[in-house]
Parts: sequence; structure tokens; C-alpha cells
Amino acid sequence: MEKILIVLAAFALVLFGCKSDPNKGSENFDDILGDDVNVESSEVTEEMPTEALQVLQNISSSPVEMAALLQASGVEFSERYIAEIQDVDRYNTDFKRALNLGILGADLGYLNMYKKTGPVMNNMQAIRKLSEELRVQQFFDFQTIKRLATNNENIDSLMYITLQSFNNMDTYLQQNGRSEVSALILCGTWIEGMYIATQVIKDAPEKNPEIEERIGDQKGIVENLTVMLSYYKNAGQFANLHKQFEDLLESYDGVTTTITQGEPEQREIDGIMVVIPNEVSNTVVPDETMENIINTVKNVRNNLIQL
Amino acid sequence: MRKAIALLFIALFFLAGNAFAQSDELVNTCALNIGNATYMKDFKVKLQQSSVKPPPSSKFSVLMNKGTIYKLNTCNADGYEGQAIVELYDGNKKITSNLQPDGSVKDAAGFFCQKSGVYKVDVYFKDGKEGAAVVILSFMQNK
Repeated sequence: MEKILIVLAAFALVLFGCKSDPNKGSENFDDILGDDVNVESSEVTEEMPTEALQVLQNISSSPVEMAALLQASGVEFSERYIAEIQDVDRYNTDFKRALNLGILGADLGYLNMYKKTGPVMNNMQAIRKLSEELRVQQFFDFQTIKRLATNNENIDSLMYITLQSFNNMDTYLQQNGRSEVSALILCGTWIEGMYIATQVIKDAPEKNPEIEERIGDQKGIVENLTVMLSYYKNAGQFANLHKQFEDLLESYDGVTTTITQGEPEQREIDGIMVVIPNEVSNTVVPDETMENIINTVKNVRNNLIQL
Repeated sequence: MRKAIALLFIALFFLAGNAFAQSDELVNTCALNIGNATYMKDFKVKLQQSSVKPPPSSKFSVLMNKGTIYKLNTCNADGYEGQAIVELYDGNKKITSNLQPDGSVKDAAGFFCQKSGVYKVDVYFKDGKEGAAVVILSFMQNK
């Protein structure tokens, strides 16, 4: 009996002992960069502050909001905007897998928002492959997702379960010393959301001020993502990714935001009292700047899927 | 002694697993309360009783976009006295809370964002009581 208890205790020790310091984000760089022969250095100059990573984690759902804005603005769904899932077989390092898991995650949000359950299944197959290779497949209940995707009545549940899966995976990665994977997924998710939105603007027969303003409002996020990547820029492929985000930030030159004071009010919406504050932001993106953003986002996104 | 240590680890193992399962279950239950909104994130909060004023809290950062309505729904775990109070801040300025001026606590607070940016969500338990809760952040497009 005592032997059994000791074995169980050892098992528990191993289980808890494996959980490394969440702030030690730099330890797994060899795993991240995998067998990529172009990697020159895996040294990280500085660890990313936990607070900064938390801020970045909390912007991860914004592609779903972007998709909701597109849908609410009357933009038609287009399969041309989403990534080709057959590319998934080429991603042979965790660096590539993590970025493209983010891209596929954003596409999944877009598909779900437009209730395109057919492509969802193909998208989930690719997500399954990448998540298994990244050893985070335990956060995705593929059987339930498949069941929900085949029943159009349960789109809300499908949206919920997939978003929650990504959130839980993010939390796990950050708390288990794999914050670089989380950061890469985040970059992939964000760039794909932006790619879809900017392609919509490019293809639109007339201007859509609301979507353009939302794209302009992403300037702060590009700044944050660029700062985040700067913590890893001495590590192989991260340097190139950081450079691409610097270019992206540069493309935002000319975007201006002003704040005006309005009248605060409260209104009952969907059964709850909603506060409408008095400060209103107004972001302007000049046409030339929008063109720069569209082109740069496209370049960065295509570079990432062609890794 | 060895037996006691082993039992302690076993207990910790099962307790940890149970706590995770319970909080996930609470998230699933709480997500049913968001009405027509779309789930974005959940925040799990567990705090000890405290006589410190203001009571200790858990803070989270969230990005909010102009033109979007956000909801913060709270659900308290069974077996705890504490009622979760959620407050939303723009910098140091409190925007909204589920704590009403008369001291009553609502299940949700709403915010119609007019200025894109990073906001702070602050969660604590009323009167510093021990509590465990889940806060669900969801959104609705204003169209």
C-alpha cells in the first residue's frame, strides 16, 4: 500500500513539477525554432513583462469583433480572404505552426460569424493538426465542435466553444513557460483579422468609414505587438517577424485620432443598463495611408502563410 | 510520515483538478446569461476574506473598440459568501459597475464604447468577503 502511495505521490510531484515559472518565457526557444536551418541564435535579450503579455492576450478576440463589424456592415462573406488549409503540411517548426494556428483561428472566427459551417470542418482539421504538433490539442474538443458544426442551429455554441478553447490554450501557454508560442499565435490571429478587413476595404465599391476607422484604431495594437516582438528579436526568425511589424507600424504614419467630449448617458440594451461615456474618439486614415496599410498587411500575412 | 506526505500530494492533485473543473463549469453556466451578445473572454477570480479597505481585487486589461457594446456578466461560485463586484475603468476613471448606488449588486454591467483603447476590469468581493466568481466579457455590434 505504501509503495502505491509513494508512486502516486511521485506522479503528482512530476505533474506539478513540470509546471515551470510562467515568466520564464525564454526557455523553450529551441523547441519553438525547431529544425529550421536558418536559425542563427536562440538567445533572448530580455523577458517580456507579464503585464504586457496579459494586455496582449486580451486583444486576442478582436478578429471576431472585426468579423462581427464586417457582417453588421453588410459585407458579403468571401472564401477568397481565408488561408488555404493545404499549406498546413508545410509548417515544420513550432514557429511556423504557432503563427499559422493563429491565422486559422482568425479564419475560424470569420467562418463562424458568417455561419459557414462547411468550411469550418476543413479549418478545424488543419487546426487539429497544428495543435497536435504544438502539443495543445487537449484544449479543443474536436468531437463536440464537429457535432455543433454539422448542426446549423448551434452556431452560438460553436462560436463559444472555439473561442473558449483558444482562450484556455493561451492561458495554458503563458502559465507554462511557452509565452513565445502564445505571442506568435496572437500575431497570426491579429494579422489575419486585419488581412480580411483590409481586403474588404480594397474590394469595396464604396468607402466604409466604420471599417476604415476600426483599421486605423489598430495602430495602438501594432505598436504593442511590435514592442512584444522586440523582446524576442534576437532569436532567429523572430527578428524577421519584428522587422515586418516595424514596417507595418510605419505604414500607419498619417493616422490621427482626436477625442471630443459628448454627453454621457445610460440606456437599457438587451436587458441591462448600458453606460455610454462622454469621450468619443475619431480616427482618420488618409487614403494614401490606407493603401499603405492594405499593401503592408497583405505582404506580412502572405509571408507568414508562405513560411 | 511518508504515508502522510503521499496522501497530501494525492489530495492536492484531486483538489486542483476539481477546482479547475468547477470553474470551467461555472464559465459554461455563466455564458448562458449573456443574452444576444457574443462571448469574448472569461476571467476567473478567487480571493480570500480581507478587512483591508479597499478590498483586494483582480485586475485585467481588455481592448475595446468604438461602436461596440460590451457586457460584463458575473456569476458567483456556490459555497462562498462573497458577491463579485466588477468595475470597468478608462485609466483611473470608473466607467461602470454592477454595484448600484443603493448597495445592491446586479448580475451584469454594460458599456457602449465610444473610444477604442485598452480598458481595465477590476473584480473584488463586496465587503471583502471570501469569494470565487467568473466574469464573462461579451460584445454586441451596434447595428
